[in-house]
Amino acid sequence: MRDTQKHIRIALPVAALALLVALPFLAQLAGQPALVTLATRMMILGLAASALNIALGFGGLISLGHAAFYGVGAYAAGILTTHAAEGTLFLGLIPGSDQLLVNMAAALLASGLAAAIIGALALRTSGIQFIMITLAFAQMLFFFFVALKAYGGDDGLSLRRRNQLFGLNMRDDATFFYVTLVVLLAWLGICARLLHSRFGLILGGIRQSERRMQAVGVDTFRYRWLAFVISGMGAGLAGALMANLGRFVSPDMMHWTTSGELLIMNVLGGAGTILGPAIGAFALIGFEAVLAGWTEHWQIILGPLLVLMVLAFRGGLARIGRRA
Amino acid sequence: MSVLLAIDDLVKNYGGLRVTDHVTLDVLGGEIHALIGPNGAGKSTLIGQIMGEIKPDAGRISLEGHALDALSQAARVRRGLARTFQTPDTLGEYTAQENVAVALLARGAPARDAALYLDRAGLAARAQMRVADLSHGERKQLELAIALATHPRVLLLDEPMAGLGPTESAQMVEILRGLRGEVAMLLVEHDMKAVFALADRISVLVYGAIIASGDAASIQADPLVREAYLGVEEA
Ligand SMILES: Nc1ncnc2c1ncn2[C@@H]1O[C@H](COP(=O)(O)OP(=O)(O)OP(=O)(O)O)[C@@H](O)[C@H]1O
Ligand SMILES: [Mg+2]
Repeated sequence: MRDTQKHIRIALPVAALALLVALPFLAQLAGQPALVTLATRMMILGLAASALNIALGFGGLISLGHAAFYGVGAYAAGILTTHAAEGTLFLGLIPGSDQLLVNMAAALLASGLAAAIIGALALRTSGIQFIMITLAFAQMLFFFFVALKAYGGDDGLSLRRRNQLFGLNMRDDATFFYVTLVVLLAWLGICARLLHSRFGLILGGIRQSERRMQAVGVDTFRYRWLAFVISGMGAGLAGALMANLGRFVSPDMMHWTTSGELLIMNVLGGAGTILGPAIGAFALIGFEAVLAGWTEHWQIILGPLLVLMVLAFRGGLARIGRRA
Repeated sequence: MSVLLAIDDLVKNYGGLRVTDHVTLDVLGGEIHALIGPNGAGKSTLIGQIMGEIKPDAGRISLEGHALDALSQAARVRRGLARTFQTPDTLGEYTAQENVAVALLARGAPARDAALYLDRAGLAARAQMRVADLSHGERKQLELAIALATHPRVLLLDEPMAGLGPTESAQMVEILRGLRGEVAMLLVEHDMKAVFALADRISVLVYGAIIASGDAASIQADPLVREAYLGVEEA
C-alpha cells in the first residue's frame, strides 16, 4: 500500500513532465498552437509561485509583496533589452543586452537587491505587520514604475524581440517553451536541494519555533533574510522570462493582485512542498483559461471553486494521498 | 573550583512587578546549583535573562569572566550557555533526530552526531519518531538532548522533572547525574527529592529575591526558607 503510494508519487511527476515535453507536438497535432504559450505562462508563474514558496512555505513568511520582485526582474530584462535595441546606456553607464542569460542574471541581481533591502526592513516585524509592510513596499515600487516615464510609465514597455540564447530561434514559441521548461526544472532542482540542506533544515526549524532555534544559537534574522532574498530572486527570474514571453513589461505585473495570485497558487498547490506551487499555478491559470472560454463572468465561478478546492485538499494538491 | 557563570545584582521589572530583585548568583565549574522557589518567583525569567532572551533592567552576567551583557542569544550559546524550556518547545514537524540535528548544524557539527546526544538523554530508541508522537516525558528528554547538542559549559534546566511520573523522574535524575562534572548546571526544580539527590548547592528565590543559599542541610534548616517555601510544600 505504502509502496504503491510512493510509486504514484514518483510516476505522476514523471508523467506530467513527459506530457509537458510532448506538449508542443500535441498542440500542433490538435491545431491549438496557443496552448504552447498558455503552458509557458503557467510555467513562468509556477516558477514565481515556487520562488514565493521559499519565503512562505519553507520560511513561514507571508509576503504580499512578491509581485514587486517579479516586476523588478521583468523591468531589469526589459530595460536592458530596450537599451540594446537603441544602442544606448542605462543610467549613462551600463550597456544594454539582448542576451537572455545576461538579462536573467541582471533580473536576479536587481530583484535580489530589492528583496535584500525590503527584507531587512520588513523582517523586523512579524504576523499581520509583515504582510502589510511587504504589501506597502510593493505598492511603492508599483507607483515608482507607473511614474517612470522614461520606460513607458503607465503604458509599460514593449520589446521588439525576445532575447537571444545560443543562437536558438527564440521567436518560435515552442523553442521558448522549452527554454522556460529548462529554467523551471533547474529552479525546482535548486529548491529541492535547498529544502534538504543545512540551510533548509534550520529555516524549517525557525518556521516551527523561532524561540527554540534562538536557544540553540541560530541567528534567526539572518536565515529569514536570506530566505527572503533567494525567494525574491526567483520571482525576479520569472519576471525576466515573462518579459520575454509577451515582449512586454508593465507596472501591472507588480499590482498587488499578482502577489495575491502567487499566494493562492501556493495555498492551492501546497506551500512547503517542492512541486506544489507549480501545480497550483497550472491549476489556477488552467481554470482561468477554461472558465474564461465559457463565460465572461468567470471570476464569479473561480472564487467559490478555489475556496472549495482549498477546503477539499487541505495542505494543497501536492499533498493528496500523503499523510500530514 | 572556579566560577563559570556569574550573575551580579540583576534587576528586572514588569511594570510595577519586580520579578528579579538584585539577584547575585554563580555556578561553579562542574557543580549542580539548584534554584528553588514558589510559582511565580521569577525562576524562568531569570533563565531568560541569562540566555539573553529577556533584557534585564540592571546588573551584569558573565561567563568565565567574559561579560555577556551586550551579546545576542546566539553569541551566548556559542560561548557555552544552553537552556531547556519548562514547557517543551520542540519542533513538531521534525523527528527527534532532526530536532537534535538542527542544534548540531547551528554550530557546524555533523548531523549524524545526533544519535550520541539522543542516547545520552535516553531517547536512542525514539530517534526516528516525530515529536508529535512523543510523550510529554520524552519531550522533556528531547529538550535535554537538544541543549546538550549545543555543547554547553553551563546548562540551565527549567524544571526538567515537571509533569513526569515517578519512574520518568527517577530516570531524569539518573541522566543528570551522569552529566555531573562534565557540564555545570543551574537546576530550576520543584521536585525536592530530585533537588536533594542532585544539588551541590541550593539557592532559594522568593518574589524575585534570593533569600537563602547553601547546602541541602542548611537550606532545610533555614527558618526563612521553611516559612516561605518548604512550609508551603509540606502543607
Ligand atoms: N512578559 C511578562 N510580562 C509581565 N509579567 C510577566 C512576564 N513574564 C513573567 N511575568 C511574571 O513574572 C513573575 C515570574 O514569572 P516566572 O515565569 O519567571 O516564574 P517562575 O518562578 O518560573 O514560576 P513557575 O514555577 O510557575 O514556573 C510571574 O508573576 C509572572 O506572571
Ligand atoms: Mg518557570
